[in-house]
Amino acid sequence: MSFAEWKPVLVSIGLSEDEVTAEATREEAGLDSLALMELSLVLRQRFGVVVTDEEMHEATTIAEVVELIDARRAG
Amino acid sequence: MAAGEVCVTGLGLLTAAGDGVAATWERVLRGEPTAVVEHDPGPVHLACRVAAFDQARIGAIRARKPDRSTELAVLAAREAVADAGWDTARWDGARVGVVVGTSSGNAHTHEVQHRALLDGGPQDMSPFAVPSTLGNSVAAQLSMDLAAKGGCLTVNTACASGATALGVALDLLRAHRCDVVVAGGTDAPLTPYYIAGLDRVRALSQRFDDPAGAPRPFDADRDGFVLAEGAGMLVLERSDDARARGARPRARLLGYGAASDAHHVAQPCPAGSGLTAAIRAALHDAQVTAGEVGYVNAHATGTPLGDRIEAAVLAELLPHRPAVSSTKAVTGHPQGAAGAIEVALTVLTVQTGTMPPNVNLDQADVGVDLDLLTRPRTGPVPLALTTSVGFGGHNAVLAVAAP
Repeated sequence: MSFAEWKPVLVSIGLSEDEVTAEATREEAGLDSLALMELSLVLRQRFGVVVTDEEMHEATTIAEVVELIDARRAG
Repeated sequence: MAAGEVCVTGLGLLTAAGDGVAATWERVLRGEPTAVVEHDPGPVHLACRVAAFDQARIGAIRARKPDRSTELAVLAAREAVADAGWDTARWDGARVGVVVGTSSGNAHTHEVQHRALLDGGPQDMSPFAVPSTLGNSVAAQLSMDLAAKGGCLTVNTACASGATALGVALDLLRAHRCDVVVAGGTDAPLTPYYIAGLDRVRALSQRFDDPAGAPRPFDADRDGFVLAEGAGMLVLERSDDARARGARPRARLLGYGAASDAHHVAQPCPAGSGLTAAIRAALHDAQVTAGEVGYVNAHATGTPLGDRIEAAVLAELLPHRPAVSSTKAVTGHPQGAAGAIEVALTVLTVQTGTMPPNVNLDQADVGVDLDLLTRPRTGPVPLALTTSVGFGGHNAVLAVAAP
């Protein structure tokens, strides 16, 4: 799935439509530590994709977060 | 204008009667009930719901997953602040306080997250479960949304919470702890736990064959209240400050009185002693006499016992028979929001000189000796009272005067 396909998921956990861009850092997009945990929960429950909070913390930008999710989904 | 006098410069309402102050006021005056029958969540019950609104209006707020009670409060507060002519980017936030009254605030989120914990275990709980359900969370969210950095408080006096919040706000302004206070109440208790729990108390109207005929405050055939959701927020300032910035006060908040029954966890004191004390305290605080009261927006929810006690107290303390109405036949009973919504409606009453009617009042109950309006009445209302009563014996009364 592309960034455009994952963006609605990021917005659904309460991030701003405007702030969620591929280039944005996690901080700029508002993806703080609690939001990362919420994202992990949603990914597991709604998509069956398991990404740990620790792995999420490694990603710097939203593009990297999406890349990580896609990699896990493919795996 | 007395030194330290406090006025209302902004109103915000989101109720079953309407989205916004104008829509709510119009329907309250029209006297059109809002109760509907619902089967889910059970048991079958009546409900007064806030109509669906575009979630985009909430925007991305820092609560991330705000409870419905928070959403309602945010929208009502934004309306109140805009009505007051304030721009939150420009005010001195350090001097702006927030006081929120809520009884069952964040109930929905609490119940959903508890279910997630029971069904799926700890790993299925949202990390926002606790921050979104702590008692303070509505007030905290409002402080973030409004850049209000002064005192930020939550008060809970059950169904009197919204009125208590305004009383506390009045004190904060009189003590010069704040220059502006955004205060009011919110609740969204149409959840499985509260519907079933209040059904068990037998507090809810069972008028399922005639939902529009419920609730019936002061009527001989009343059988309980109708649970509702809603929020009412007001902007309060000292009158001299408001006038200095060119604001137009809608009304003056002259006095506040509070008293506890110290009697029972759910039933009001039969003698109405707490409510009596609260009314007397509000009149004393406002430095007015009972005879000056021209209108009362009564708490009356439509329960057999509560309405009877309130009617007796009002008849005794206000023997000159001012006009009385309960607006709950239209708004339903939104618990901790009720008091604030009714203060807002009382502000509109004194500002416009229009007193809203009782609805579903076909035959006043035996022993109810009040001037109960059955249609709107117009005429100057220099001074009005609004009463609020909550489980646990909380009584809160506010005296509202024309600007």
